Amino acid sequence: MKEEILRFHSVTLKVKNEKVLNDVSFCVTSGEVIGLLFRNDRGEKELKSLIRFNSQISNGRIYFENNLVNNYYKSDLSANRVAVIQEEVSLIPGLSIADNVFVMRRGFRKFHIKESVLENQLERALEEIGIQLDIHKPVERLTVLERCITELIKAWLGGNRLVILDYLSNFMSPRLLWKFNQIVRHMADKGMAFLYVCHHHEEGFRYTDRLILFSDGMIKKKFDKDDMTEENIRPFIQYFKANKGMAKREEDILFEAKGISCEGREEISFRIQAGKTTTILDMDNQLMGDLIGILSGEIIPDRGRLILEGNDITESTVSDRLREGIILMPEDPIRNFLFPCHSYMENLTFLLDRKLGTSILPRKYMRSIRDEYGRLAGDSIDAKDITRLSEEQLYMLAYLRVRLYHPKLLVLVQPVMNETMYGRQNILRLIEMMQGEHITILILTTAVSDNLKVSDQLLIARKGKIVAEYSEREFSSFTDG
Amino acid sequence: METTQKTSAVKRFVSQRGMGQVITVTVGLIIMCIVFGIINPMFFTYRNIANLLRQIAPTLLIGVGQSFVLITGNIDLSIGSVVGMSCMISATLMTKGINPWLAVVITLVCCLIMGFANGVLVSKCKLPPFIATLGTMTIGRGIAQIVNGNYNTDSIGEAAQGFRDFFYGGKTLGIYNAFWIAIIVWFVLNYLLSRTRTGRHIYATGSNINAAKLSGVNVDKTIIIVYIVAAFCSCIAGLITCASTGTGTMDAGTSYELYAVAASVIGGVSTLGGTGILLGTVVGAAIWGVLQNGLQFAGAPVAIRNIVIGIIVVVSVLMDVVVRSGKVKVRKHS
Repeated sequence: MKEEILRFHSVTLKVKNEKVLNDVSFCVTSGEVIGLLFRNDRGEKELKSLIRFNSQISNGRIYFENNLVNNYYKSDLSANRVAVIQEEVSLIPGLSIADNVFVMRRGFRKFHIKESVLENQLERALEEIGIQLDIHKPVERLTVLERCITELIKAWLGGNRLVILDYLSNFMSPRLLWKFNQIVRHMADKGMAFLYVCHHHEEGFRYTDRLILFSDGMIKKKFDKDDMTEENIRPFIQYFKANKGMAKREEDILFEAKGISCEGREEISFRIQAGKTTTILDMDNQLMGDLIGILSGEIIPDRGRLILEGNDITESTVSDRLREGIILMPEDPIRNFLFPCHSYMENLTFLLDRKLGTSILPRKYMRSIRDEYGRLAGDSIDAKDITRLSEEQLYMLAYLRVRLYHPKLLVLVQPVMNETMYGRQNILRLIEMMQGEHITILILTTAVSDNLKVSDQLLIARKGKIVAEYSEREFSSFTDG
Repeated sequence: METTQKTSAVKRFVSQRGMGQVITVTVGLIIMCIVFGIINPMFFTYRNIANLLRQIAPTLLIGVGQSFVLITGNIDLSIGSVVGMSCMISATLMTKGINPWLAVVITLVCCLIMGFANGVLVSKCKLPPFIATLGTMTIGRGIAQIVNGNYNTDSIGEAAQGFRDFFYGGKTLGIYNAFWIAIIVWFVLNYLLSRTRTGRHIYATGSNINAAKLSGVNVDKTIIIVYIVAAFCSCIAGLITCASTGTGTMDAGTSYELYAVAASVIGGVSTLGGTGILLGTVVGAAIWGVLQNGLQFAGAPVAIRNIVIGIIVVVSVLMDVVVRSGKVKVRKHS
C-alpha cells in the first residue's frame, strides 16, 4: 500500500497582501514522481519553500508523512525531511563521498571518524540499493550524473522520503536526463517520492506519473498519465506558431565549419544555410564550450577552417567576429549581454559605433534610432535605469540591439533555458523577429525544449561531434532520449 | 519655442546618469560654503577663493584619474607615489640643469610607464588591482626616494621660474594657472569619458565585464588606458606640487590615493564600477578642499578635520552600496 508523504490542503499564502499561492491542494505518495510545471514564476519559490520549511501560511493545512506540520494558525518554522537536487551543488569539495553522505548530515554525532568504516557502510548501502558508484573518486571530479546520484544516495541514507528535482534539464543533457530518470524511477520503486520541477510539458509528460500545472500561484490542471497529451494541454499554454514564410529563404551556405578541433578533441564540421535557423543539440554537453569559444572568438581552433560567405575567417578576437558580422548572444542575456549601468538607448546602440566606424554617434542618428525603435520598445526606450524594466522589456532590448546591428550570423546560446512557459513564448517571438530581418541564426543548446519551433534544421552532436542531421520535416522522427 | 528648447536642455542635463548625486552633493557644498562664510567672513574674500581653487587643483586631478579607474571597477593605490615620483624626477632633473620643459616630458614618460605597468599587471597578469597597485605604490615611492640619492632636492632655481609660473604661481583671468590646468585636463578627459567610444567601453567594463567582452570591447586595453590616464593626472598633480614648493620632496603625494578615492566617491563615482560622472568628481574635490579650508578658518584642529572628512567618505560609499544593492533585482514577468 502506498504511503502518503506530502499533502497540501487548500493552502493559501499571502505576501504583502497579495496571494502568491491560492487554494493549492495536492498529494504525493511514496513511489510517485509528480511533475510541477509553472506557467509563470508567481508562487513557485514560495511553494518550494513551504514544502521544505513550515513557515507561516495564510490558510489551509500541510501534512508531511501523515503528520499535520503546518496550518494557518500555527507554523513552527521546522524543516521537513526533504532533499533538493538542483544546479547548485550541495556536496562539499575536498571531502570524500562517504564524508559527504554520512558526516555532512543532520544528526551525525560521532566525534572520531573512521574512513574505512564509512566506506564499507556506503558500499553496502549502494549494493543494497543496486547503484554503482566509484566511491573513491574525489567529489570535485564527479561528473554531473555522479554528483546527482551521490546527492540522491545522501538523501536516501539521510532518511529523506521526498526529493525535489529542480530543473534538471538546466544542467543535464537529454541523455544524462534520461539516465538519471532511470535511477529516479528505481528509487521511487524503493519507496521514495519525487517532485519533478520542469520547464516544459514534454519533459514532464515523459518522466512523471502525474503533472500539476500552475499559473499565477493556482493549480490550473492536474494531468494523470492517461491525460498527458498535447490536445489536453493545448488550452492551457500559448502555442507559438513561427511565421517562417516571412523570411526570405536562400539556399546558399552562409557559414561553414570544416574540421575544426581544439586541444586534440574530435573534429567538428557543419554548414549553415543563409537565412535559415539551425539548432545544434549537444546531447552530452561536450561540444558546446568549444563552439561558443570559437564562434565568439575567444578560442582559436588548433585545426580546421571557418568560412563565412565563402571567405576564410582568419582573425580571431571577439572584436574581429563582430566586424565580420557574427554576434554571439550568451545564455541569460539579461545578465550577460546588457549593461545595467547604461541607459536603454546606450545599451541599444552599444555596438553601433563599431558598425558605423565612428567613435562619436551623431545626434541625428540617435534621434532617428529612437524614433524607429521607440515603436518596438515603447516607453522603455527613454529609460535611464534599465534595472527597473521587466524581464520581457530587457529581452526585447537585447534582441533589438542585435536587430540594429543586423549581423550576418546570430549565435544564440540556450535561448529559452531557465524560462517559464510565458518567457519562452516571448523569446521565440523575438527570434522570429530576427528571422523576419533575414538574419541567419545558429542556436546552441543542450535541450531541445521549444527551439525546434523556430528551427529549419537540427544537428545532433554526441561525444563532441555532429552525428545526425534532421531537416524541418524530419523533426517529428527525432527523439532525444 | 525657445523656452521649450531651454527646458528640454535643462531636463536632459538633469536626467543624465549620476546627475542626481551630483546635484545632492552640490547642494551640500553650497550649504557648507554658506556656513563657513557665516562663521568667518574671510572665507568669501577673493584671496581665499583664489587660493582655495589652487588648493583644489591637485585633488581634482588625482580624483579624475581615480574616477577613471573606479568606473572600470578597479582601484589605483599608486596615485600618491606617482605624484611623489613626478615631483622628485622633475625637480632633480631641473636642479641638474636640464631644461624645465624637457624635464616635464621625461617625467611624463616615466609616470606613464608606471600607469602602463599598473594596467598590464591588472589586465594581463590578472593580479587583484588592490595588490598590484599596492606593489607599484611602494615601487613608486622607492623611485621618488632613489632619484636624488635619498635626499630632497635643492631649489629648482631661477631658470625654472617659467615652469613655476606656468604650473602654480601665474594667473590667467585673475585665477591661478594650477586651477586652469586642472580644469582643462578635466574638460578633455570628461569629453573622452562621456562622448567617445573609449568612454563607453570604460563604463561597459565596469558595468558588466562579460557583456563587454562579448560586445567586442578590448577589456584589457581599456583597463590599461584608465591606469595610464590615472598616471597622467598624478604626474600633472606632481608637477604642480613641485612648482608650488620649488623643490622636490620625497614624501610629496603621501596619502593622495585616499584623497583621490574620497573626491571620487563623494562625487558619486561608484566603487563597484560602472557609474559616476566627472562633474561629480569636481564637486567631490571642491567639498574636500572647502572642508579643509573652512574647518581651518573655523579653527578646528587637524584631527577633527580628518574625522569629519572620513565620516563623509564612509557615508558616501555606504549610500552607493545601499543604492546599488537595491538595484540589482530584475522584475520578473507579471
